[in-house]
Amino acid sequence: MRKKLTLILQRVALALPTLLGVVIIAFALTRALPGDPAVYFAGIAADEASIAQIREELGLDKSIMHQFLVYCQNVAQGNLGVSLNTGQPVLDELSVRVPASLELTITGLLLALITGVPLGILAALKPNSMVDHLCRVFVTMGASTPIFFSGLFLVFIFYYLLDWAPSPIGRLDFMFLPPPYATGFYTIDALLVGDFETFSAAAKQIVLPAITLAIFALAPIARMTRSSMMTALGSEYVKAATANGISASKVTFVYALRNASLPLLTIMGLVFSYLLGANVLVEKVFSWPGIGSFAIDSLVASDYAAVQGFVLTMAFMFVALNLFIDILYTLIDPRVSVDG
Amino acid sequence: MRKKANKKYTLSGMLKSVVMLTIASLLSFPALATNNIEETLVIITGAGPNSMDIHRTGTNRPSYQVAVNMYDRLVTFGIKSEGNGGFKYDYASIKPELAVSWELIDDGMAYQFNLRKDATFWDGKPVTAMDVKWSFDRAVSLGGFPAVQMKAGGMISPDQFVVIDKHTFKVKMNAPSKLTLPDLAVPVPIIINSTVAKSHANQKDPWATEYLHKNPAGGGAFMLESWTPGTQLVYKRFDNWKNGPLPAMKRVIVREIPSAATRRALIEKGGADVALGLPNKDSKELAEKGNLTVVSTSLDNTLNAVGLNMEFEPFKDKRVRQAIAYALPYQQIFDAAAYGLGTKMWGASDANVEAAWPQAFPYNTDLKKAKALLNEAGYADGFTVPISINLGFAQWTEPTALLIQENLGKIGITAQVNKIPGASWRTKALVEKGLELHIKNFGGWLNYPDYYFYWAYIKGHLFNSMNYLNPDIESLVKESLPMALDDPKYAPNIKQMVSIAMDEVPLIPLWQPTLEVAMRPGVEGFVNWFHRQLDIRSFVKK
Repeated sequence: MRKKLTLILQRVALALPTLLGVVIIAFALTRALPGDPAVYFAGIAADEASIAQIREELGLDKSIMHQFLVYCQNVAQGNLGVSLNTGQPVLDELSVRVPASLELTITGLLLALITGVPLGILAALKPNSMVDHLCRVFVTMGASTPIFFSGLFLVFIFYYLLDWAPSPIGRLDFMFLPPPYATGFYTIDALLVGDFETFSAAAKQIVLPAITLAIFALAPIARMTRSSMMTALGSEYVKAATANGISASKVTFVYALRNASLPLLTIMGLVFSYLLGANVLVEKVFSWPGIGSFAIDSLVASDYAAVQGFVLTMAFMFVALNLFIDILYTLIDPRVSVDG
Repeated sequence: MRKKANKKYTLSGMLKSVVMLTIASLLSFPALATNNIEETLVIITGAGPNSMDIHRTGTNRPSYQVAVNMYDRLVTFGIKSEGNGGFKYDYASIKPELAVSWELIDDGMAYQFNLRKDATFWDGKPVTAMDVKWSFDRAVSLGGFPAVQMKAGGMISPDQFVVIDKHTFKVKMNAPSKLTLPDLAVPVPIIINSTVAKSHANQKDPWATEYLHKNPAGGGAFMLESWTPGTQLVYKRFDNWKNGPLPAMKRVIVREIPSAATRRALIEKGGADVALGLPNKDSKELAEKGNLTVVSTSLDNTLNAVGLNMEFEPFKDKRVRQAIAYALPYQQIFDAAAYGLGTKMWGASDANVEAAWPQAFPYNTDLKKAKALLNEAGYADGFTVPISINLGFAQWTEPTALLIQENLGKIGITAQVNKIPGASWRTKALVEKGLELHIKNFGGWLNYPDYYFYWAYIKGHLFNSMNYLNPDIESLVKESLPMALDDPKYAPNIKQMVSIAMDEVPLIPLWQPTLEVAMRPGVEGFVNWFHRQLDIRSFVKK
C-alpha cells in the first residue's frame, strides 16, 4: 500500500512542472496569434487615437515581460481577466461553460461505454460471427462520419422529421430557468433542489448531442475492448482458469475483463480528451453554450484573456485526467500493487 | 429494528413527495406554456450581445439591439413598408422620439430640441435635458467607436451639448452639416437614466461603465427581463413608454443559435417565430417552399466589391483596372455567391449616371475587351496577383474569389486565393492597405453617396483600402458633405464623383447585398435598419 501511495505522489509531483509549462505556453501562444486585439475591439471605424487608448486600457502598450509578470500574478490570484469578446470575466464564463461541456462529454462517454464495451465483448467472444461483423460495420460507420454531419443528421431525423427530440436550442428550452448553481451540471443541480421538471427538460436536451458524441466515441472503445478481450481470452491464465473448471462467466468477466480493462482505461482517457475537442462542432450544431465554442470565438477575435483561460483550464483538466487514470491504473493493475 | 423502520418511513415519505412534485410540475407546465404565447415572440439569431452598453470598449454589433430597444434617442428615422411583411427605415424622414420637435437656430449653427414632458425612465423618474446632456457627454468622452460615430455628425466635445431648461436641449455645431441630425438617430446617442448611472459611478469609473455593462438603465420601449450571455436575452415591455406607439409584444426572447442549419430547422419546424441572419441559400429555398414569410431587403449604401490597390504596379494603369472590370464573371458570381439575392451592380449603359449610390457600373463580362485593354497597357503576357479574401465572410467571398481566379486566368493573369482570418482582416486590408486585389464589403450608416465616398474614396480614409487618390473626388466630397440635399449643386456634384469612380474603377462593385429574415406565418414587422440589428418594437403576431 505504501508503495502505491509513493507512486501516486510521484505522479502528482510530475504533473506540477507540466502545469508550469502550460502557464508559460498559454501566454506565449496567445501573443503569437495573428491580429491585434486593440484594433479588433476598437471597432471597424476607429481612428488611431481610440486604438491607442484601448491598447493602453488592455495593458498591451507595456513590454512583453511586464505583461507576463502581470499575467502570472493574476493567475496566481485566480484572476483570469475579462473576456473582451463575451464581455464577462473569464472565470465566470469557464465556471458555466466547463460544466456544460463536461456534462455533455461525460454523458456521451457513458453512452459510448454502455454500448461499446458489451459490443466489444460480444465480438471478442464470437470472432468472425455475425455480431463481430455487425460490430465492425457499426463502428466503422460511426468513426468515419464527420461529427457535425451526424449531429445535423440526428437533428434532421429526430427533431425535424419525427419530432421526438426537443428543439436543438441548447441546454434548456425557453420555458425553463436554469437550476440554482451548485455543480453547473443542469441535471444534477435540478435534482439537488428536487426540480424534476427542469431535470427532465435538461435531460431531454442532452440526449441528441450526447448520442452524436457517443457515435463518435464508440469506435475506439468497442475496438479496443474487442482486441484486448481477444488477447486476454487467448492467454495462458484464462486457459488455466477454464481448465480448472471455473465457470465461463467468471472467466470472462473476472479474469479476462479485469486484465482487458487496462488498455481500455488508457483509451478512455484519450477518448475523453478527444471528445472535449470534438465538442466544438456538436456545440455549434446544438447551440450548446460550452467551452469549445467559447474557445473558437475567442481565437477568432484574438481575445487574449479568454484564450489563455481556455488553454489553462483544458491543460489543467487533461493533467488531472491523466493523473486520475494513472492512479486508477495503479489500483487496477495487479502488477503495480504489492498486495494485489 | 427501530432504525430500519425509521428508514422505511423516510423512504416512503420521499417517494410520496416525489410523486406529488411530479404531479404538480405536470399540472403547472401547460399553464406556463399557454400563459402568454400570443404576446411572446421568439427570435433566433446567430450571435448575441456581449454587453448592455453600446458605449463600452469591445461591445459587439449584436449588442446594438439593446441600444435600439431599451434606450431612446432624441430622434429616429421613419419606417416604410416594403410589402410582404417587411419594413425598412426611411432615411429621408426624421421622426420624433424623445424630442417632440426641433428647430435649426443660431443661423443654422445649432439644433434646439423640445423634449416630451411626460416621458419617464423605467423607474418612473422623468426624462430631462440633464439626462440627455450626461448621456451625450458620455458618448463623446469614452472614446472608441461611439466617439468616432458622434464625430461623423460633427459632435466632438461636451461643450456642444447645452441644457436650456428641464425640457429643452441644444446641440451646437462647429460647422453646419446635414449629417448632425441623422447622426442623432443612429444607435449611439442613447439617453441614459443619469441618476441611476451616477449612483454607480466612482472616481475610477466616472461614466459607470462597469454598472451599465450588465444593467441597462434607460427609458426605452423594452426592459431587461434576463440576460444569459452567450445563450439568450429576454425583453419585457415597458408599459408606460411614451416615445412611440406601444409595442404589440409583451415579451421577446432572443436566443442564440450559432449554426445556420439549426436555425433553419427551427424556423421550419415552428420552434421559433423569427430567424435572423439566414444564408442566402437557405433564404432562397425557404422562399421557394412558400410556407414561411421570407423577407429579403437590400442594404442601403452597401456594396460587395473588388478593390484594386493603386500601389500595385499594374493597377496604376487605368486600362488594367478596366480590363479587370471587363473580365469579372458578374452573373456567375451573383448566382453562386449571392444565390441571386441582391441588386446587380454591373451592365449599366454608359450615358445614364444618376445622383445615387450605389448604382450599376457600365461594365459587362467581355473577355475580348479585357484582353485588348491589357495589350494596350503593355501587359499582353499578363501578371501575377493574389486575390485576398476575408475568411470571416467565406460564405460569399470564397466562391467569388474562385470564379474571379478562373476568369483572370483566361486573360493571362495568374491569381491565387489568399485567405485572411477575420481578426487580421482589418489590419491588413484597412489599416496597412497592403492587399493588391481584394474582395470587400462596406456599408455607410448614413445613407448619402458623399458619405460613402468620404469613407471609401478619399486617400488615407479607413475604407479606402485601394489607396485611391483623385483630387477632383477629394474636393467634390469635401464640398458636398455638409451641403443640403436640395442645394442645386448637390446632384451635379454626386453625378460627377460617380462618373469618375466608374471611369477609374479602383473599386469594382459586384452586387448590393441583402438582409435575409424568415418569419412564421402571421408574424410581421421586421424592420431593415441601416445598422442591421434587431428592432423588436414593431413586431406583431396574429
